[in-house]
Amino acid sequence: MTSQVEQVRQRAASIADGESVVILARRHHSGRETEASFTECIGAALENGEASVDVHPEQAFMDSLFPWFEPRTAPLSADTLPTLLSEPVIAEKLAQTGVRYMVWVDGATEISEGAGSMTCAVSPGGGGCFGFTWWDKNSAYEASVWDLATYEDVGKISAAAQGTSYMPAVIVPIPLIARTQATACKGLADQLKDFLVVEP
Amino acid sequence: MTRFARLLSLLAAAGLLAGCITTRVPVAGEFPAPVMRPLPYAVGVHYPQSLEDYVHEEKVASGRTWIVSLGEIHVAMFDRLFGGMFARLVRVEELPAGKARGNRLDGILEPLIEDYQFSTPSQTQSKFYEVWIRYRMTLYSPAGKLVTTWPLSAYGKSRSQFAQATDSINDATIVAMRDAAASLAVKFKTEPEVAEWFTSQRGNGTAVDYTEAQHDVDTGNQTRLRHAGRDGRPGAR
Repeated sequence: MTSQVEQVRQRAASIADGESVVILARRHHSGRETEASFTECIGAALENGEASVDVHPEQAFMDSLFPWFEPRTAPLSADTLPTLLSEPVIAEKLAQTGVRYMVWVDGATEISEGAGSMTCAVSPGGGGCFGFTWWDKNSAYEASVWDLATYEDVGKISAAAQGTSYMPAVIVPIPLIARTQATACKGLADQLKDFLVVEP
Repeated sequence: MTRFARLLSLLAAAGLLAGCITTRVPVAGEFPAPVMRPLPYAVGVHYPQSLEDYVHEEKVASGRTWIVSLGEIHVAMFDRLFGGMFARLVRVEELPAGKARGNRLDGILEPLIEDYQFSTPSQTQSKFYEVWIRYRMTLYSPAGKLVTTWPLSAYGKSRSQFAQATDSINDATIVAMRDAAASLAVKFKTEPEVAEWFTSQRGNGTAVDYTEAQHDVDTGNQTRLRHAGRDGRPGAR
C-alpha cells in the first residue's frame, strides 16, 4: 500500500481553549459523496491522543445552522462567509456553537472491479469456496480549513492512499483488505493537528 | 423426494417469496427550524388532503413492492419550516370562499407533492439509494384567489447499508425533504411574484381576517384555523 499527504498552509492557524472545529463532508456531487465514516474517523482522531482538538458534531452543526450548510446551500468558498455571517441571526447561532475552524472534506474511496475468480458451492454434505480474487482501492481526500474568525481559507491538506486487497479461498475465503481509507484518515488527521497548532 | 430436490424446491420458494415482498416505509425523521429572521408576514398554510395522505407505491424489477408514506412527515416539516420563516403561521384547514374576521393574513401557501421517485443501488449500479421529489407550491390571496404557483425540486441520497434498504430509503427521503426545505427557505423571497405580492399586502388593507375555531398547533406561535368555504376550494376575492 502506498500513501501520500500534502499540506498547503496559506496562513497561520491556532486554536484556543473553548474553541472547536467542525468536520463537514462535501455532498453536492451527484455521483459520489464523502463517506460519513471518514469524517467520523477524522473527528475521533482529532479528539484523541496528544494535542487533542475539540470537535463539534457535524449533524448537530448542520441542524443548528439549518438551512445554510445543506448540500444545496453550503458555501463553496471562504469568500462567501462575510455575506452569510453578516446576518446577525446566523452569526449568533454560529458563535453559540464555539466552532472556530470549519474543515471541509471532499473525496471518496473508490474500488476497482478487480480480477481473479472464485467459485462457491453448497451441497447437502457441506459447502466451500475455491479461488483467488483481488481488487484495487484508491482513497483520495482533500480538506480545506476555513477560519471563521477571519473568514479566510487558511490552508489545504490532501491525503491519498492506494492499495490492493486480496481474497484467497480454500474452502473458507480469507479477505486481506487494504485499509486505504483508514490510512488516509490517519494521515489527514495528523496533519490537521499539526496545522491547528494547539496553544499551551 | 431426494435431499437435492428438496433443496431446489426450497430455493425456488425463497425466490418466489422474495419476488412477493412488500416493504412499507412510513418516513420518519426530525427537521430543524430554519435559522433566519422571520419574514414580517402572517401566513396561512393549507395542506390539501392529497398531501396529507400521500403514499408512493412502486414495484421494482426485483418484484419487491415499496410503499412509502410521505404525508404525515411532510405536514410536520412544512409546519416547522414555515413556523420559522414567517412572523406568524396559521393552519387553514379549508381554503376560504367567504368573509371572516379576527386574524389578518397576508397570503395562504399550499404545498403539494407532484411526484416522488426513488432508485436503488441495483438499478443505478451505484452505492446509493436516491430520491427525487417534485413539489408544487401555490400562493393564494387571503380570500383564496390564485396569486402564483411555482415548482420545487429536491434530491437526496443515502449510502447503501447491508440489509437496511428500508432505512436507506427513509434516509434518502429525509435528505431530499431537507433539500426542499433549504431551497424554499433561501429562495422564497426571490420568487418575483411572491415578493411582489407580499410587498403589495403591506398596508393596502386587503388582508382577510379569520376568527373561527382558532386553536394552537404544534408550536406556541402557530395557530390552526378552520374556515369552511362552500366547497372547500379557493374562491374568488
